[in-house]
Amino acid sequence: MMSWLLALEWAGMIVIAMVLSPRTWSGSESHIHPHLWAAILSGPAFILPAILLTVIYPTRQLTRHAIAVAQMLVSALLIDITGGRVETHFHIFGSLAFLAFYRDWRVLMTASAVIAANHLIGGFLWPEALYGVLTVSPWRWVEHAWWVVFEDCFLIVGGMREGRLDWGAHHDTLTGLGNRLLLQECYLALPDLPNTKRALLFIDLDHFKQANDTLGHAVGDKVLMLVAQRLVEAVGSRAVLARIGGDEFAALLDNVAGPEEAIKTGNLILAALSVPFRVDEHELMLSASVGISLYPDQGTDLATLQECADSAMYFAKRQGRNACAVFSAEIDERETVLREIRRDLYRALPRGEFSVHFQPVVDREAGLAGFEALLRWTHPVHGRVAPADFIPMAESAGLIAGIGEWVLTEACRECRTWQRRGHPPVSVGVNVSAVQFELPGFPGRVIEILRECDLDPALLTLELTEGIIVRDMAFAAQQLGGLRALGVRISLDDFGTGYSSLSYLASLPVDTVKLDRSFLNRDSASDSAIVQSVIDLAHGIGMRVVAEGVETLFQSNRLKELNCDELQGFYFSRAIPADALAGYLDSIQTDPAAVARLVA
Amino acid sequence: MTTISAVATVAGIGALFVFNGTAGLETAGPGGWPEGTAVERSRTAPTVLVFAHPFCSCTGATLEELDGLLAKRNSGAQAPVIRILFSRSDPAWRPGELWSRASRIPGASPAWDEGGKEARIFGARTSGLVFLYDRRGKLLFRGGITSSRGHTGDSYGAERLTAALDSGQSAVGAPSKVFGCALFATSDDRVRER
Repeated sequence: MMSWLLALEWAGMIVIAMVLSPRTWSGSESHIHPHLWAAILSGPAFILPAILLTVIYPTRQLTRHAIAVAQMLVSALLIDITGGRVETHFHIFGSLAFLAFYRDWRVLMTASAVIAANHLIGGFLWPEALYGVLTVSPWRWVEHAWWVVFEDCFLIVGGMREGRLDWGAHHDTLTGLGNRLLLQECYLALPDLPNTKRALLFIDLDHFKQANDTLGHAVGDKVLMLVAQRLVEAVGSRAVLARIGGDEFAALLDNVAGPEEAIKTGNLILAALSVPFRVDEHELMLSASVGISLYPDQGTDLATLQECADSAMYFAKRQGRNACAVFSAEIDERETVLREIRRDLYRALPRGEFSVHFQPVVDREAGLAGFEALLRWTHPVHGRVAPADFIPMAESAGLIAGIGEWVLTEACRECRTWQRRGHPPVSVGVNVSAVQFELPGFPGRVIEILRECDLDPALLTLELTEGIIVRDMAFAAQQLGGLRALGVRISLDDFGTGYSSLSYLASLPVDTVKLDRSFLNRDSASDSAIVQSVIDLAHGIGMRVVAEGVETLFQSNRLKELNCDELQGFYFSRAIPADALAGYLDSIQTDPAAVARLVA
Repeated sequence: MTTISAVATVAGIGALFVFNGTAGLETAGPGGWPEGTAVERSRTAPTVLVFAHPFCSCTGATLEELDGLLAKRNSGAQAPVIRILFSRSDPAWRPGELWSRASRIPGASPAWDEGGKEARIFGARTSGLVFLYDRRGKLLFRGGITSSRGHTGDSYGAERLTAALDSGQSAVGAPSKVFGCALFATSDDRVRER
């Protein structure tokens, strides 16, 4: 754009010189007028160099200075050609033009220096030509100098005021870091040089929302300020830092050797954030997930780099958080699929793509004790989607309550169907999400579903994780009390992975504790001791214990030795689709050997 | 590149300054209204006489200044008679932009000076030379009224001319330089000498 303007100015100046003063005369002889020569030669002398710089180094400071010099001299030459006095006014207009273009004081100083040189040299050699009648007032130049100084001061003061507004438009007022606009402008200002690599790092704090919700926004804001401070200390000297969302930050690195250097920077950030944060009386442990994209490998425009860094960041989160991930084709493929899944999740329920499978739960003495209802989703394109992938999405999309209610209804209906077909009553366990559990009318809705399905409440076990209960113990006790009063059984899921508080275990109306599968995957004496302790404790307060994830005969025998009441896992059976369950129940009912296998 | 550019720019600007600030050649002329001239002098009012090259773009500034300073004079002051003579070195030359500009000055009458005959009588060598005579033919002012070639604005010459017009006395101080094209080429002089 600027190169075109400069080229047009050059052409315009030549045309004006040709019209106004094409030739100079001596009687009948004429020659090309020096104005026309000056207009033509101004191109190679100072306009073309400026044009070349705008093309080769469009964002460099040197280019701006070259344009400033060219603009000032073009202005002076135009005034000379058109017959005006080379006076202060062109400097003023020139200065204003540069401010409008660049808001750059260094460039303004260059423009002023050109004018000063022009005035001083010209004024020294031909004072009358520049300053008018010095014979009348030898101090006439003071007026001109005054205008130059006044104008610059005026522009500088006005510019500073504007600069403050400009700062606000480009920075995050909470943390003082840049914002998206600053990031964008800094990116555009970087020169487009060959063999240059850059990295964009997306930093997302892990579980910040929970901390913010729990401790309040005031504490959350202070944490964000401390995070910004640590980012500046860690990488501020070599990166453009910006806060681009609630707990999302970005770092733009120029001239990186390769992905290793970007990862090193990412790890520096993770290390800086791993030190506990002390805010008021609270001490918080935070971590972050960092996604990295590289210029020009993954894109040359900021939007593409942001998209790639975002995908890599989500990948790092899915890998367990507190990690860096560099964008790759594999991540791209996986994230593309997940994006499609996220999009299609909204239509999955109305389109009937969900199904409920049932995994048997075995009583160590009596055989089949019941089933756990497990949600499955068969995507029309991507096939079976892992619950670990789509359930967090459903939670974040606000769909989990509706899906959870659908699962509950289907499980109750199936359970009643088995009885109607003549099978002995068995219980069915249904997982309940936090959102679902916290709905004020949740117990009432459970009653409605049980009535609709005509199912005995005692055959329904609602499984909740510890995390749901400890969020608000009083509320949890009230909800659980309501459900328990109906006759519904309560099971505490994934016990041992979270708080594992034994005090609330005794105070809440819980019937069953489900031991997390992680205790079975490790074959250590300490794990066995923990399992034994939990079983003893649960039995001591009248609860039953269910072990999940039993995959081998050894695990099964060991748990039976430890007096675990019920067992569940691939060793006994995988989750069975609803339509195949009748056959399974028939085989259990009619084949005593099958029951014996279960309890063996 | 920067050095070459800077040197070329400084050299170019310097050359332009030199061109703009170089006054035309002038010779001493008659101290009063010359004998043998065909130009008519007013007997009742001052006469302003301007010699101009018909295509000299610099002289546009002289006409601009003359128009301006006459317009700024006190309305009660006696208006001078203005004669603007365009030296015609080539009979094929026709009135151009400068002629039109001269015609727009109130009280001015542009005319051709064939072969620059009158200019030679008055000793004028440079376009833009201005004379002021009182009604008795006394020379009150002789010189240029711009500060450089083609540039309007305050100038020593314009101030002297204004003072002379207002006072009716000879302008004081050194003569002002004339900035404009030469009225005669060297070859014109050689033709004339043959």
